[in-house]
Amino acid sequence: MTPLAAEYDNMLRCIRCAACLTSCPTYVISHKEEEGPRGRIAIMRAIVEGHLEVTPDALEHLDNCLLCEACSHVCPTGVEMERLGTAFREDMSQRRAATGKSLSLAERLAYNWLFGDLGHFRAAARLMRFYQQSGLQWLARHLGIVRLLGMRDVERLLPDMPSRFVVPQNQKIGSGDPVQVFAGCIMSTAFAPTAEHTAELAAAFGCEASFPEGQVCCGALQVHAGEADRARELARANLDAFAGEAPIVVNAAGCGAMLKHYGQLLPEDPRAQAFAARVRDVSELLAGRQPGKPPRPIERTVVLQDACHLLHAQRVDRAPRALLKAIPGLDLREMAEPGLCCGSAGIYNVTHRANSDELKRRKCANIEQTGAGTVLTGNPGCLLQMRAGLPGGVHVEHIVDLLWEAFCDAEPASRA
Amino acid sequence: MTKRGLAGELASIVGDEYVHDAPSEIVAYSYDGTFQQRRPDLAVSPADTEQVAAIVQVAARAERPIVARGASSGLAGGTIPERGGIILNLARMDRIVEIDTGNVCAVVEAGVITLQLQEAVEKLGLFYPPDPASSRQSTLGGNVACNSGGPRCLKYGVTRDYVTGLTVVLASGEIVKLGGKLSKNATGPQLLQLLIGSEGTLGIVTEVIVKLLPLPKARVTASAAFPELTQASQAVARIMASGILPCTLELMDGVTINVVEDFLQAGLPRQAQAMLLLEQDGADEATARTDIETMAAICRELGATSVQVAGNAAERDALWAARRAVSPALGRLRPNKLGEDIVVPKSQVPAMIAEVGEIARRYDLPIPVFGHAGDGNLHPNILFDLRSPEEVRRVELAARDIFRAAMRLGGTLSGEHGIGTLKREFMEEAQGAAVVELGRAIKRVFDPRGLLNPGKLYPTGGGIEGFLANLPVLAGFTPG
Repeated sequence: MTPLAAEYDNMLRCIRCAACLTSCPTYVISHKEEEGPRGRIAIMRAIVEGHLEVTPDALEHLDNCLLCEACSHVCPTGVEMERLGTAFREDMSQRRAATGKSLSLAERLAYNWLFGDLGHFRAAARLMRFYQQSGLQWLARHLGIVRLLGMRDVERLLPDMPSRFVVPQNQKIGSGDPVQVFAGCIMSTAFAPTAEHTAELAAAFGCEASFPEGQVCCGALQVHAGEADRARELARANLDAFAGEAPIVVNAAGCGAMLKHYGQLLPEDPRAQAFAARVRDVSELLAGRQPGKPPRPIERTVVLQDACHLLHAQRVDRAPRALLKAIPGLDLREMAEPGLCCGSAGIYNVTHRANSDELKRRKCANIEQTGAGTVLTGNPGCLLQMRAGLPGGVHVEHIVDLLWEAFCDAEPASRA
Repeated sequence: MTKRGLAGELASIVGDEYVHDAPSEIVAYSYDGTFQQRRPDLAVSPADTEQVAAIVQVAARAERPIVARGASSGLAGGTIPERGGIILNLARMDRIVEIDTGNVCAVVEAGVITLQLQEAVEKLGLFYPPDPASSRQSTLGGNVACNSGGPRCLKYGVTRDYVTGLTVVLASGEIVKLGGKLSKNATGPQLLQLLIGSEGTLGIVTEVIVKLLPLPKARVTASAAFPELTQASQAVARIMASGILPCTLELMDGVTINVVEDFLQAGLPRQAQAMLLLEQDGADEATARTDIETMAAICRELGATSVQVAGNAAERDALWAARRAVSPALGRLRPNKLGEDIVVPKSQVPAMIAEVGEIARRYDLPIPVFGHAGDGNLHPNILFDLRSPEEVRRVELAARDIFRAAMRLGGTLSGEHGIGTLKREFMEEAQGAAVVELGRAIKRVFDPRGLLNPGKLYPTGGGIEGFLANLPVLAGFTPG
């Protein structure tokens, strides 16, 4: 049985009530049934039932799905769209392999070498820092090389690399209940200070936080690209690295959702289910605990951007808000269409530029309407997407960094 | 332009991007909210009324049937392209053209989502009452086509009570306007009203003018659970005779309660055989609460074991979440469901519920009942498995008996879903041959070549025998 056929019961849960349509980013911007969840399920079902070949149009409509899980969130009968979407992509990947067509060299390099080992990822990140710091970036931008390569918008999405990274080596911070921090590839490099803040926040909330050695990338990008076997290898390495029973704390919504799905990814491995049950988004962990000392006031107007893989995939929305509301002086606003994806969606903003840009514009317009000077989010992809889309006056930061400022930072805020 | 033939002609009107003729796209426009499925020749998504008119002219020249749809969430097969042809997807026409506070009305395109209109007018202190359970996805055009109702229509009336103007594309491709921003209109025969509930068979509605009301300032909700269904039915009758007109008086039977509880884990009383959801609105909290307390007392008197009055908005939302989840949650029990929509005189609700119980036993089928008990509109849902021909036969008989029981009690086939394909074979029994012929004659005047949603509303001549088994589904298993 193909991976897609194995999801047949999942498809059959769809009763075609259409409740998902207005939640779906691609439907909302296109108003096309084939670009909505109900249409995609019907297309996949027709493929499995043998009424439809995988024609280029079918491939396009299924591939346009952001896997944001907004539809699964509102589905009254419990269809799990991300499972369907990733099964379809795995199917396509297997077909490609069967016909001798494999991934491009760049893709293989990315999935196998770059994301396969955090050491490799750090090496690439260092290379990027060199590019940004040496003047090469300036040169590339001003000589028009970036534009020439059609990379201008994509290049703008790249984060500025910090000077040092978090290298998980079993280092411990604080004392109290043990928790294990999942460092992540992008979070431990491009957002290394945020990774450190995550551990320090856990410590401020009475935890002994450690970064287990041997941990690797979560595998979400691979699953979304149909390379599930590659993701399974990574998952097994993480099962080995995160021994014990301590909660596993994550500061990237996409990684957290993936780690919580290890039970599904490795159904035959009894450790996977137990691992998944230990995973907590950092906001979940903190909201369920008491801080050692009360938070420092922060006089700022902020809006929380719900990452799809936190709000929809993990159904976490109250915890981050509860933490923010505990900070004196903080004015927390809400935006229109809070559940609509910002268009980042893993590498969707690189692979599907037009859709992604439209969603980015819409999200940023909704954010600007709140009048907030700071946007907070719990996912690096969303963060970079909004930085690329918002005017310079609007500050975008990881929610962990603001929480750290309130609960850990002894110095007064540097920013008004 | 790369498309040819009919697709090319349509593409010259709307652009290539909005003609959906690839194999997977045709599948995506082949279904509605039931289990039926039939591929159209193609689908097209116009941006405005003029494009709709041009498309209708192309369809007329090509002699292709044309089936208009919004969200295609209907429950009667009304948007199934039974004879192929062109699906006209009106979802792109989703502009709220105007909210006219001076004339207390709104002008909207047909593809506007019902809930989005409601949210927009409520921001201005105004109110659009019709609230189908699918309001999150249904469109105003679809609401007009089916004359949709909803829970609070008990007090406020259904879609037809709010529509004062329509822009309609006729079968000839001509654009006509009926009515306007008018509170009263006695000018000639009410063609506007004829269009409402005509399910896309007489013309294609592209723009709707609806009147609005002031938004009630307070809303109080309560629920009452009963050990016996008959007690709940008696409570409904007593409330309606008590001089109070509640905003909402919804009923769920025991099967329904348990299915919803499985789904939501909202703490519904699993032991109860019936639950009533009561709501009253009003100019202030005290007035609404007084009515709710009176209704709660009636429920207690008639044997309600637990009566809960929602103290705040969160509790009220929880009670409503349960009601709104009913129809989809039933889909989890058996692979397929036939959601009926009978309406009987209010006083006959207890008798009708008893009849459904008897029919469920007779044909050995689960038939949970829920619906708008206050206005006599009930949704017995026959749950079954389409893959079993023997079971389908029993479902056909059960549906027939439910319709006949409703008619015997002075009722009719549909309160708010419409006829579509699912109830058409019973139209003669419900209306009489003369009335059905009158309807057909009107259809011929509006659509002499029979291209607008052909085959819907009127009996096919196929008879009642096999009326379900003969409906189109893709080969293979089709839930819904």
